[in-house]
Amino acid sequence: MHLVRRLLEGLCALLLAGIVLVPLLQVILREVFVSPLVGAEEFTRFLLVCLVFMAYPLVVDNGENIVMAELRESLPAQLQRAVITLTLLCTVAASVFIAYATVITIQANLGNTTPTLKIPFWLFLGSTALGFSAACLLHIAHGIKPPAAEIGPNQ
Amino acid sequence: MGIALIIGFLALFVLGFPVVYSILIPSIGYVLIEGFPSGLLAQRITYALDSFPLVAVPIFIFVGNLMNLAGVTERIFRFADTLVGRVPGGLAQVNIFSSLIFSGMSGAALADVGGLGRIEIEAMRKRGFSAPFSAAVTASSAVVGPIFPPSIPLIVYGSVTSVSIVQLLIAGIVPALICIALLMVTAALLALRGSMPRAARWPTFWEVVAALLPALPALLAPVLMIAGMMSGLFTPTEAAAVTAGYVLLISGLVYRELTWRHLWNAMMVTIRSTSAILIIVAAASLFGWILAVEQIPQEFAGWILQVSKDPLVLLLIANLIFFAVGMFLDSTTATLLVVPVIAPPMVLAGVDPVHLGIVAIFNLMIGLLTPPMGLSLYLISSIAKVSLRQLLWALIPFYVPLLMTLAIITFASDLVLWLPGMLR
Repeated sequence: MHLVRRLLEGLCALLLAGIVLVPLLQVILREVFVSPLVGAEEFTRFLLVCLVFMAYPLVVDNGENIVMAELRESLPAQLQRAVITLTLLCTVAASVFIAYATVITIQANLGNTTPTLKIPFWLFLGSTALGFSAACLLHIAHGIKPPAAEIGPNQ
Repeated sequence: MGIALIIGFLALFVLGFPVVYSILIPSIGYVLIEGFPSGLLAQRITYALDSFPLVAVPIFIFVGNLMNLAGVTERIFRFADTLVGRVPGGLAQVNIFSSLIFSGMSGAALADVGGLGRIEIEAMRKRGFSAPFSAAVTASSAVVGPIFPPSIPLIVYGSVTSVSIVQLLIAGIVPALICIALLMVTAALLALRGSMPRAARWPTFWEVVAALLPALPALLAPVLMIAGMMSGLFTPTEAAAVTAGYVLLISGLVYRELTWRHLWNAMMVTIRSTSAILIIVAAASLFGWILAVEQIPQEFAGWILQVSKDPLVLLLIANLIFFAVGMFLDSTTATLLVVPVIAPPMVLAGVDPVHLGIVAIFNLMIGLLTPPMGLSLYLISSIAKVSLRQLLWALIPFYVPLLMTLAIITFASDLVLWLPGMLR
């Protein structure tokens, strides 16, 4: 499990590095050498899509989904447990459904590619399927052993 | 069906479901009940992020995290301390002024609170300021971050409404400066009334120069970015990448405080923050599409234009809606779900979409300081180790300059649109 997490972190770090470096390189090549990269925007957008979905299991694993838990925490303990169980069941079902819908879409779009760089669509959709499949497994794991906190750090 | 969808979202959200699932679960239900192909759902979610302006989001988050971890933040604070430490309010003024400088490099309010805020609160407490007051100054000044360029909420707003992101970012400069000035006046008045500590004397010219030199490379970053965008040299996303490259360069070669561990940690925090925010953007795209199919924006437009067609009245209504929404929803969710419904009738009635964007985002940022969903409140109370009640009491005087800024930017649209007008 630790190895998988490390691999995923490494992959996401590479994607982020690409997201920062490709537009930077584009500015340098365009403004200094008057020779812009063809398809740089398209490639950066592809990296962003992959980063967001591939990193989603890391968000789930760290309990960093944005939630408003104030009302739930003010409920009686028994009711709280019921809501948490309901949340778990619904999130697992939703993750499974999205992963399934994405796989179906991949099968229907195997030959499609992006216009300039010809990046296959299944790579975009594959990151969504992978992200939600892994998130589903982590939701189940957290159902068995809950994470310490689930508060979003993002604004 | 559209109303059921909204009620479903609100119910799950209030019950403590993660926001992304609060949006996705009713949307999946709708797709299944209405018999739409499930592939549509996958495509909507995935391709919502296939947007070049959104690429700026992870880069600006990365810049903020990098600055906090690589010693840039401390240099900004030291320079601000030398420059305005003698003004009544002393370190409170330093706190507010540093937030303005920091916000010129990071587009997130919570990056300001979590990074610079820690240093500021600790320094203020050491110099005898009360913990609740220190926390209140930090929280209120962090509101400026997402208004002054770069701004992640404004980038999200621009991507939702298809308004020029460069114009939105440039439009935030004047409101941010007004807000900072009003916050500094408030801090000075409170300091004079409460005999709060300040620097013993004004700095000499050479002391200012000595503090400026180490901070200068950091201070040049926002200048580089704004000048690049205004001159048309970079798009906002490219400006973000140039700023990131510049911050990497100065923290590694000039300040020599950047280590591989810092870089890795900044990347990991950025990756998770980006995914947590943008996965909501992806889910909200599906939700927005369903609302459009159900003609909810059109119905709202018809209703609101019956109430009034006067742009000023409509802006006041927008203020009330965004203020109320900001109390309950986080800014990303609110921007993604509420703006597509509210913006079209406003624009139809003559409200400038850039002006509306600044008004909307400023309202939502004030929402960070209001319970029950005030993320800044919770973060700052945990950093400063003060109760929420103490923090809210200390914040009361600071709501006045924030609301005054809101009134000014609502009624004086020329002030907001003056700088972007130069680009049109």
